[in-house]
Amino acid sequence: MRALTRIGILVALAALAVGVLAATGVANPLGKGSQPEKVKVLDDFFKPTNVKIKKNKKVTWKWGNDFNTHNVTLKKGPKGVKKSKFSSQTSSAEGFKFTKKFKKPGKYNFYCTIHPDVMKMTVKVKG
Amino acid sequence: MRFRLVAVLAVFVVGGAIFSASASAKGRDVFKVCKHGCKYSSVQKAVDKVKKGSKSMVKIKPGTYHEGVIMGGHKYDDLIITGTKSAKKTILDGKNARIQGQPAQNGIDAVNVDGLKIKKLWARNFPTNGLFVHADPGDHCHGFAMDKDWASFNGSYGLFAKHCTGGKITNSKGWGQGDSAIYIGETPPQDNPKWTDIGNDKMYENVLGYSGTNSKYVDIHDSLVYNNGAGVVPNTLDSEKFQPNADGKIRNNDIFWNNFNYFLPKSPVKTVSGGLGMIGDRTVNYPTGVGVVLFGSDGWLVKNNNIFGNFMWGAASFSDPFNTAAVNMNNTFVDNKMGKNGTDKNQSDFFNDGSGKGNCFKGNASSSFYVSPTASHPQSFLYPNCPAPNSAGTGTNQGDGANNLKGQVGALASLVLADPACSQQDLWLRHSHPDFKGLTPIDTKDFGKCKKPAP
Repeated sequence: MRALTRIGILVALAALAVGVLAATGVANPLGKGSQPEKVKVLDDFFKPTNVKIKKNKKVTWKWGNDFNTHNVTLKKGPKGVKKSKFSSQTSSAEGFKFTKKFKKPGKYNFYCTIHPDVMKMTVKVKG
Repeated sequence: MRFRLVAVLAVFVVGGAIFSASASAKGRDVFKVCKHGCKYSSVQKAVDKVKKGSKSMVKIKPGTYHEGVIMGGHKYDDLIITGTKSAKKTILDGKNARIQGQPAQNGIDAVNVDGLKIKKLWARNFPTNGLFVHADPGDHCHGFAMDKDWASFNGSYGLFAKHCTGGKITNSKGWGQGDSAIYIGETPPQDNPKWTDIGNDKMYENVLGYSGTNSKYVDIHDSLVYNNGAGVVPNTLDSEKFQPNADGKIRNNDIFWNNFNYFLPKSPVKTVSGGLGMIGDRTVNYPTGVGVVLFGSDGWLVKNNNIFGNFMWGAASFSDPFNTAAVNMNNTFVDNKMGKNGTDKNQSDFFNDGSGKGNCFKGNASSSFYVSPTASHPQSFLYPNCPAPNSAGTGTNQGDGANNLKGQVGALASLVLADPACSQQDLWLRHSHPDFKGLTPIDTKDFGKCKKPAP
């Protein structure tokens, strides 16, 4: 048993806020700078949901202070990319991080297997 | 010379037995794991070498292994992972455990594996879960088994199965979890259901003893559930698939002393949950002081349990007023022995919010039923005999007083909205307990004072 995603008026407001946040779109186009792109893993969404980077850049997913169990799993990637290499452990621990370097250009679709309907995101890697 | 030759041969034979990659036993290749002297010094290394689970057994010798283990896919179907001695001696410890350069999150994380058997292991101190079996969307984990396992002080769940069909968790125990000792979640609906057997287990000193979000076909029996915040808690939440939780049994258990105020500052256990949501500026927390909680449950049988010494309610039944899929209905409370013949009472043996239809109460010894002074419905509406007449219950997820937070729902709200959360205990009716099996009631331990903000 964990957190309800919706309960009461405030939760409706929170859901609205989530929608707004989720709609904020692309983060730091093409990943300028040497720092990895950062994605938050929250209940029950990724933020942001679209990331664009250059090849050989990294993305770090960081679990927030929410409470449900999540993972980052590659659903579909460029030809030849191993899904298992782009899949995290399943965690509910605040602060847990998962970092991957993207060497191959293309579109990477990620999701959380625990919340597959609502937790989806894309990383686009430009050559 | 001859003696020497024999001796050398003997040494080779012994050495071969110890160091062989795999020796055959019961038709399975055996992958031995031990700290020193085996081919595999870690469980993960052994698991990685398994080619066919149904023909393999990973045997772990006593020791403390600081690792988490990951396995995925049906090549592992029917694999057995077992300690060679008891769980007490064969430990997966999350402290300083790493997987692929990262802190290990789970003791064993097995995804999309059917028939996995995990026996005689103790998983402790993992940030997330102890032993965790689950399936990805569109895949399955049929018929897992955890037997004689222990789980302690894991961040979320101890022994955990999600999106599985059938299986069992038996002769095991869990304590100190930030959520529940045993969890069955997200059971896919089935026409010919495979039941999950939760039997002869001990669940104590957790936030929750048993929790099951959207769990189905679960038979919880012959177990001890005590000293948790709340004892047995099937529940329905929209955060997981396959609402609602349905068709379960809670029978022949001892469910007692679930008065763990883990919100207190010196509690050794902290809840992983920040609450169930918000109403206004108040956090909705899990209730404490309750033996059984049916939350948005459909078709559960609660029968022949000993339920006593819970400072709030022995058994509580309510819906989620914000989720129309979480309606308590068709639940039967029958032949339970409440309050230990009056020697170790629950404050009230039963609480029902009056939502749903078909919930009924019959043959329970020494029953007391909570009816709020502001309730707008009589006891016969809230606590009907079995079978429940159609006139009882609101038929919806809105219980008595839901529209104005009075009556039954108001009483529930005063508990779960208590601020600070530790002040739930102000609503408890405390008393001392007579001895039971030599156990120590958790309410006798000092976890500090509940600090309330200055008015």
